[in-house]
Amino acid sequence: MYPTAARHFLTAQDSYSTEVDDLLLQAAALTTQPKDPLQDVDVTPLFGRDNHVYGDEIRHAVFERLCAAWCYLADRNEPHSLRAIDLLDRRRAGILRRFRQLGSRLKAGLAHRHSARDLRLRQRIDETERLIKSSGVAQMSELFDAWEKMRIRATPPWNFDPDAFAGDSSLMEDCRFDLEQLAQLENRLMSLANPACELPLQGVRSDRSRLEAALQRVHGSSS
Amino acid sequence: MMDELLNSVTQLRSDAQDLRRQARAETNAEKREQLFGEAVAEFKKAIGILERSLRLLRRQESAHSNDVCRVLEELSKSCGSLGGTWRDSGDLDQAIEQYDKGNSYEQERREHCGAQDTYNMLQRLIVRLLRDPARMVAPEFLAELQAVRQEIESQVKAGREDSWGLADMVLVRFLCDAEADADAAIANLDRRKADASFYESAYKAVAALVAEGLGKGSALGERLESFARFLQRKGGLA
Repeated sequence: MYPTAARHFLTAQDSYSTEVDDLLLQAAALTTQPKDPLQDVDVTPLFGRDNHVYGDEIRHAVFERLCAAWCYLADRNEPHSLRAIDLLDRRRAGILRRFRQLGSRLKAGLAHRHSARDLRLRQRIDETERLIKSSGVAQMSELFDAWEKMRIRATPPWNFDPDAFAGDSSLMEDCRFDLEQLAQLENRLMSLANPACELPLQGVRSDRSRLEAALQRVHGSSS
Repeated sequence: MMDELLNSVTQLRSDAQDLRRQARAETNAEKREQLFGEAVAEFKKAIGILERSLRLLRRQESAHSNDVCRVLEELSKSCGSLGGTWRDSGDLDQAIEQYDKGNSYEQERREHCGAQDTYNMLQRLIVRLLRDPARMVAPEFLAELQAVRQEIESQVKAGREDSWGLADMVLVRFLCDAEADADAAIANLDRRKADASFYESAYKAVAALVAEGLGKGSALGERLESFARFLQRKGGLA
């Protein structure tokens, strides 16, 4: 009976495959809305809004979970030490994205906390952000994200019907912006001069060519 | 995809807000200007992403789908935050432009998304008062204030009860000379405890009106000063 049960046991229902920082964020979201920290300033749990002491406890608990998630990522994965080439690994790219988002969210909370440990954390966040920006990893990450968003759109920019441009003057502007993003990503990938970049480089070039061809078709039909 | 988009925009807005806060605290004029410039650039980046996404959604989805409303919400907030940044830096013309733009997105949300939000609607008037306090007695300006008051009060009747809404209600009632009604909203604010960022932001807006001398020597000036002190106390602000 045990082997049969073991064969059919759905391991996905356990949380061992969930990332540790995600677990902490989920725990934080149980107590407040996981929305915009600048806008959602009221605590939502029962009694939390009107009972000041309880409300403060909730905020403190949420903040500590966010700190724990950030520290876990910083110390176990060191996303601030990543190189641009490392972003070809989707898992690491995802960690970097979550790390940066967490850092920004924490800065909003740290603005009103002034103990020595809060200042230390703030300094660490600033230092990691400086490293991520100065290494070019931040820009690379944003370009990869922009490319991915283009590809998963219901209608990627290179698939627009040329007739759609006639009644939509901003479409050309948006397509040119996408083209510029692709050109920048292509340049960044080329500058890495690493054989591992060959495959994504082919993908970016292919999409850029398709977008250029689509824009030329529009020019052709309008002239 | 929408969640990822909104997360990246929230990140940009948080970073921009942090730069804005640093700029306000900076005493070196050159450094202060640089920080304000960086904050403005981050907000503009967020607004650019959102406006492109809105156009993209509108080419593909129904006029006010859930996703369209979510992007409109982020847009109105981002324009409002950029307006506040321009106001802090002393450029009231740019602030007016952004609050007006934010209000047009906010208006669309109010009409088509069922949104209960009046931030830009009120701030676009307040920033005009900062530029020209004499407007306080202009009939057309008072009519606009009354329209904002009606909108906020109808939203509260419909169930709105967030701290931002209550603060808007206090301010607009002060400006409409309805002190007793404002006191009820302050008592409601006093019963709750919002995040420190709310008190800081609301305090800055009221303190700017006080600093500009709005209602100085009159009951309005006293009410504004008293409200600023209240926000300072509740938020534990120095």
